[in-house]
Amino acid sequence: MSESNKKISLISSEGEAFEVSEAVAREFEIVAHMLEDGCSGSSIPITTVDSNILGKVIEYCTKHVEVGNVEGNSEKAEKDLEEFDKRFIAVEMNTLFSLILAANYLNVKGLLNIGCQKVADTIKDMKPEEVRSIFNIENDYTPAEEEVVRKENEWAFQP
Amino acid sequence: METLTSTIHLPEAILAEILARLPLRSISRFKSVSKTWKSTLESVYFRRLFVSLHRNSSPAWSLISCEGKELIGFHGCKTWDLPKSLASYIPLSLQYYTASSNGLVLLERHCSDDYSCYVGNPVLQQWVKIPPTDVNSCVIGLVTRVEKDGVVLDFKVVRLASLKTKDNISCTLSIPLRQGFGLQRSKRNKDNNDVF
Repeated sequence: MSESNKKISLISSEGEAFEVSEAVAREFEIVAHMLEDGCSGSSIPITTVDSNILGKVIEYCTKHVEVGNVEGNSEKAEKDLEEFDKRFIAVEMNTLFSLILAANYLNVKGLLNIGCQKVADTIKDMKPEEVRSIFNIENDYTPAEEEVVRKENEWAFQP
Repeated sequence: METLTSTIHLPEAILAEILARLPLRSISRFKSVSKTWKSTLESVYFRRLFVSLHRNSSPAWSLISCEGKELIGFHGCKTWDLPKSLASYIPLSLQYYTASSNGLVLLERHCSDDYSCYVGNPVLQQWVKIPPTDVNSCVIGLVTRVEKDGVVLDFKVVRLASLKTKDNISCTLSIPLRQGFGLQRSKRNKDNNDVF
């Protein structure tokens, strides 16, 4: 198929070009829509995503396209993909947040899903104080107000 | 070492996407993070997102005998993340378990001369005492009215009353006793008890 051999350049916020096959570029729904709307240019600027993150998102999409193309998708392939996803999102919080923001902007649903799930799994058993520090949130409760909210949800603090 | 603190600010919609993947136990705890988080977590938008993401997860359930003893149960679900069985949330003083509906349970207490009846949410430990009636009746069931996304709007306690007619034939009559009880907002409408 000549279609899938077509190359498209995705340009990061720093102006670096990443050459990918059209099939991989189409994994970015935002790009797929541009292509459908008749934007036939071979280079597409992704101005809000830097090279580091764009490279990672492309790596994710490339892997998923590869596995999706294998005929008669086996259980093993699916397991491998799961393993890949797991390793892929085992990154520090700042990178994870950047990946989520990029996946949201580029509309890569699978990546958005595993990224959000990873953050949720990380904070699931944390105390509110720890969560504040992760998300850089200022506590805007007065001690008395906080006490009331804590009391209302006491069951969730019990071991 | 993995750095945990992030300097990146996430928009509210993405934050909701993350938080809606948490179990209810974490969600309730994180209402203490900030006022903004509390209002996000209590919004209708968030509730719908949570329900749609947890559609495939099975809820916690419990089969409880009349004496309040749990015969079999499942509490390790992803929707609630309860650390212990549902039956262990039921106070020992309210040992007679009568009925349940959409997460609310109806419990009775027989204690020498004292008889009382309660409806509530065992996990949240919120109980409403159901006032006694003049008619000689016994409590037999609980029904709830629920919105599409699972919010319990109100409930009715069903009583069975025994009446003696002139011909001395006894007959039974059910009397639903109504009481408003907004679970989500824990707003209790205690004045709304009308027997009809």
